[in-house]
Amino acid sequence: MTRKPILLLALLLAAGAMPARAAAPLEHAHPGPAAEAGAPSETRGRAVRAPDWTSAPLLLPAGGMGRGNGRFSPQNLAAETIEVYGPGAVTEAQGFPVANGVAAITPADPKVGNYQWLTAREHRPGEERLASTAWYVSNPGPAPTGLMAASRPGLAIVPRLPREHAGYREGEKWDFQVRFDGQPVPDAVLSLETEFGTRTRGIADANGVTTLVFPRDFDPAKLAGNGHARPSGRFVVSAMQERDGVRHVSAFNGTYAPEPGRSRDLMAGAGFLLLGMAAAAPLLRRGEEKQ
Amino acid sequence: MMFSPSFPLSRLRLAVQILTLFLTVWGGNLVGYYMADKLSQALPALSCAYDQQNGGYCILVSLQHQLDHRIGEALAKAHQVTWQILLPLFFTLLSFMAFFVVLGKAFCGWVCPLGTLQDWLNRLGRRFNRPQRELGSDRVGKVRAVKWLMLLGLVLALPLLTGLGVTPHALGNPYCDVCPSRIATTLLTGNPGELALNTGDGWRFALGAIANTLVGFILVASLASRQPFCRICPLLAFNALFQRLSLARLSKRQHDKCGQCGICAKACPMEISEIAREHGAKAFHEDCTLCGRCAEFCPEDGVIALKWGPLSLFRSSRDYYRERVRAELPDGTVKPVKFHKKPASPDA
Repeated sequence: MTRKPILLLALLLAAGAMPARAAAPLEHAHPGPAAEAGAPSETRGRAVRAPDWTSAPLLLPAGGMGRGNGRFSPQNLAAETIEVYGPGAVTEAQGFPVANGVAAITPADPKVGNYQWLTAREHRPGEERLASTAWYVSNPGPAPTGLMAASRPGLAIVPRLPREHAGYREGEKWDFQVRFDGQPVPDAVLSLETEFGTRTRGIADANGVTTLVFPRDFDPAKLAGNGHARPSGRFVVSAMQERDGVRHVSAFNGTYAPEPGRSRDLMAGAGFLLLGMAAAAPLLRRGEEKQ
Repeated sequence: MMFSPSFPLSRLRLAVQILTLFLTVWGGNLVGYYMADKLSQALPALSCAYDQQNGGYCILVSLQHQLDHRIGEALAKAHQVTWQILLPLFFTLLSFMAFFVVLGKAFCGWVCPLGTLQDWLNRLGRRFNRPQRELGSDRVGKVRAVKWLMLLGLVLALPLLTGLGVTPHALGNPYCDVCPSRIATTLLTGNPGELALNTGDGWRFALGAIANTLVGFILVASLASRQPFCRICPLLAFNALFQRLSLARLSKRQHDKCGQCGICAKACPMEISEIAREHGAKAFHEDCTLCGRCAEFCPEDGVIALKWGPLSLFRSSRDYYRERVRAELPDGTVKPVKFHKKPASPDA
């Protein structure tokens, strides 16, 4: 009797020692925020390449990010500064100059962590371009409810940010609100583009809110995680509005993760659950002598 | 004392368990998930990080992460060991300690969602007349060591070794990977995702298979044994390390009859036989979850008490005991549900 659990354990450990299959791990054991800070190591120490999958304005991590400091690069727009809005009492943005295409930034209030809202603007004749993203700083800080509710000038895309340790994932529905000078823009058209080539659009409701579904389009080659770098893909949600002869283009970019079910087997999991139940079942038998 | 036979301690405990089960499993829906983040910081020992609907996180996940990603990696790069790296670990423990000073080991007996599930399943088993299996004094002593091994091996050593690059990356979070609470609480939210095994990595597959087997075993075993997982839970060991620092504690004074009836030991779901023999600090055993059953079932006045600082929350009393055993015997036996065959119709 005692050999059975030992045998089972040995089998499981043997399975554990098996080399990872080519399909490779899909998700890191620990979840993390899905906004741009979620995948810093991907670009750590490397120059940011201009994206070829979108023409929307972007703010991309530029590597070299540590705890409480970051480097971001505006792409598809010529911005002079990156503005950082914090979730705490400091409501005014802190501006950080862009030099050689990269800005070294810190949280708006160095003592306050959680999500920071980053924006970069470019004023062109007859056109305003805004890139925005959320940067997660893993220090204690208030929830970003007030940060996201704050009214900011121009066209803005306000996402619902994932909970700490969570993130956007393939197949999930997420709400994005379009605002102009802080007011919702009904019937605005939002575009979702991913680096894997998906292009979808949605139309905002009366509150300016559009629900977009993250496509199940992950490149299988990117599913192979490497150490701490869990697989992630970039996306951008953008909108355009014409106001007083000026074309406003606004975008929010971040990262999303593969659907966990891609490398998971629910039936195998249920099988082991039943195995455990079966192993405990004899405990439920009432012995004759006990009765 | 607010408790009486008409309002027993066990009823308050049941109410607290129901409340905290909702908070720790579905609390995020109630307070909003941003507020849940705040709760996580205030009450870090509440619940499972894998459950996106809950109102807090368990201390063990952050401890493993700090050891893997901060301490282990920093030790590997010795020049990076600065107070800036150690500070997050310090704050993780500090916030846990602040919580722990208030609630102490009552977390295990009153708040933990997996403890509550096991408790209720055992009551169900008793209602359906299933046997109550006990480990017995010989095996209890051996099993007690397992929780320390779990704490040392899975919560502390492996994450640290992973951070140092000694063990594979898949072993950076090993306790959460085998934790039955992760699966049980996410299943309660209707999410079977944690039940699915990761087929892309051998280690993760093996750990997931162990977790699933363990949770299946516990769910069924709880019908016929009390708190089977609590006995090996590393959080119980972690709590035991600091139990003397908490305001919540079990108090027992010496009495002539102690060690004779052994009713308090029979009432203990953790099979702590020492409660019948010892008194003073020794009676507050490392396995105690502060459920209060020993105090409820002690037939002597004022011998066993649940205390919070100088306040006595509940004291044993003969009158209370007499009423209590009418509803339930110390070992949890209750009047079983009986199914009667319908008598055959005389027309048939």
